[in-house]
Amino acid sequence: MVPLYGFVEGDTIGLLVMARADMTVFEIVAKLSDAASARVDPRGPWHLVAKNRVADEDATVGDLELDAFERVDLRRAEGR
Amino acid sequence: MGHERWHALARDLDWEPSYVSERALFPEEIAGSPFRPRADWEGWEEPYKTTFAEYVDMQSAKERSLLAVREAFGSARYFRSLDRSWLSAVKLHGATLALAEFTAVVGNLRAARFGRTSSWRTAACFGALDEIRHTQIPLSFMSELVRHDAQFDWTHRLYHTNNWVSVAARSVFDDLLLASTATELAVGANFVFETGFTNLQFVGLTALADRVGDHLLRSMLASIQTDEARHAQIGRPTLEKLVAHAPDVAQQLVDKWFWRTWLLFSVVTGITMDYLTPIERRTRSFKELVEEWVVEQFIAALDELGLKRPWYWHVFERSLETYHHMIYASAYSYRTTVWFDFALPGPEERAWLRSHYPTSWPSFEPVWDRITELWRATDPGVELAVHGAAIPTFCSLCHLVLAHGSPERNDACHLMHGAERFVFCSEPCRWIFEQEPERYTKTLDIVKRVLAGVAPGNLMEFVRHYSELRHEVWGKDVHAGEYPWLERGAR
Repeated sequence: MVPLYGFVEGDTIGLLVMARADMTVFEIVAKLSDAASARVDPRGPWHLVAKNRVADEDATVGDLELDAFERVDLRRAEGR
Repeated sequence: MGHERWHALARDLDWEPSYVSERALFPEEIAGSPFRPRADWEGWEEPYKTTFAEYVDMQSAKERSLLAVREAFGSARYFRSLDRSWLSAVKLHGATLALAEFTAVVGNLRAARFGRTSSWRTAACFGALDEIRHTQIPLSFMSELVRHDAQFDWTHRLYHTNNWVSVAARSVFDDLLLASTATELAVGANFVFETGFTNLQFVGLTALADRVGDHLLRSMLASIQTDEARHAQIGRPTLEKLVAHAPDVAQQLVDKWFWRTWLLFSVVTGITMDYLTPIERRTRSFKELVEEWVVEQFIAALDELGLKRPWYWHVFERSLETYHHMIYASAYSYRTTVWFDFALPGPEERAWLRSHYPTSWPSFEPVWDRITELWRATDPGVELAVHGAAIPTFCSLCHLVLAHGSPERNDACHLMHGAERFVFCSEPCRWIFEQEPERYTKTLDIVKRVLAGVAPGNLMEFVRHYSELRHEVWGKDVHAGEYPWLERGAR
């Protein structure tokens, strides 16, 4: 498991996300938006930004080469 | 012997050591770095001087006065007369204050031995006696209230637990009061924290307590403030000497301690003023208090000393607009993890906040809309339906939650130290860590404790067993989510 620090646009606090190497960006988005749902409407669409780039939703944590405690951001996609 | 002659003789009775060197008598590691010979400290002078006899008379009169107030405002009557949100502010202050003051006893005693002039050491002796009093007063006053409300037990309990607020507060107070040299203590505690923040905070909070009708807290704070004003004087003459002989060190210490103490000050005083004080009793916002009393006076003091504003001043100015709002919304949604209750800001409170924070508040409206919506969708008292479940993240330096920045962009940043990644809530926290990494790498933040198996990863386990909070004590909404303006309708 890779512990990631997730930040959801519109939220007030960073959250821990435990991710498996084979977990997709789509799954991380679902997990993180749900984790912040006490303060932020979880309905998307969302983009996951990692290493300063919007990640493809099919990419895995392993593909993105995310290290322990690396920052990932959930940004609202255009059009909502 | 006359008063003035006695002061001159007794409070500054120094001598040349004959059988050890001055450097051995005042080692840098505990007296302060860089080492400067005694001649460089000559002329150190606090503006207000006192003798032990005068001190005892004065303190004795204060104690009599405080005891009379406690008699006059009996605990049951006091407890029932106050707004429940305000009581949360009392619990927050009581718990963060009491045993931190005891740590300050230790710090002052170090300065009473290793301060570089006899007058400094004398003033620090009185400071230590003051801080014993500041420990005992809140413990004594709040202990009377435990029978009415178990949350008051945390006045004594907080620092004996691994509660995240305790971890964060211990991190700053241990660093400042136990791990600092006498010189760093004088700059960080006496000049920055006491002169810059707490002295004025006590004045502001005393006035607020008066408006709320909290005579007990008002008297307690007013009494403590008079001591703080006296021993805070140690800071300025020490800083003057440091500026004269090691200006870079002086600037570095001011920059470090302004930021470290600002974060905790903002958490405790910011949410008290802008969220826990009943709206009809508020006279001004936390931001206005800080701008008027802290910023203006602190900058003026730095100018007089020939020091610059801390390098991160632009970050501080943004922080003043957002940080305590970020913390309050976060803590509201993790309220079971603390020992005091929270009020949900309603339309009237939100209009007040909008008018006092016109630039930043609009970003927080959706957060409170969401929290309100969740309360509307559940029944009063179902606290966990309006509560976070994921593990929050914490700063590797200040150990507060990663809540600096704004809802649009969290300021969290990182640093690789060796092979390990450390995450910080803000650039200034990272900078402080970078200055002395060996000082800060050994304390695990809460997330790393969870991952190391030291703390449980399940929130309720974390609350019950690691934070030592029982259901009757942990924080709740002060009205259980039942507000006249929050209509639920048929579901």
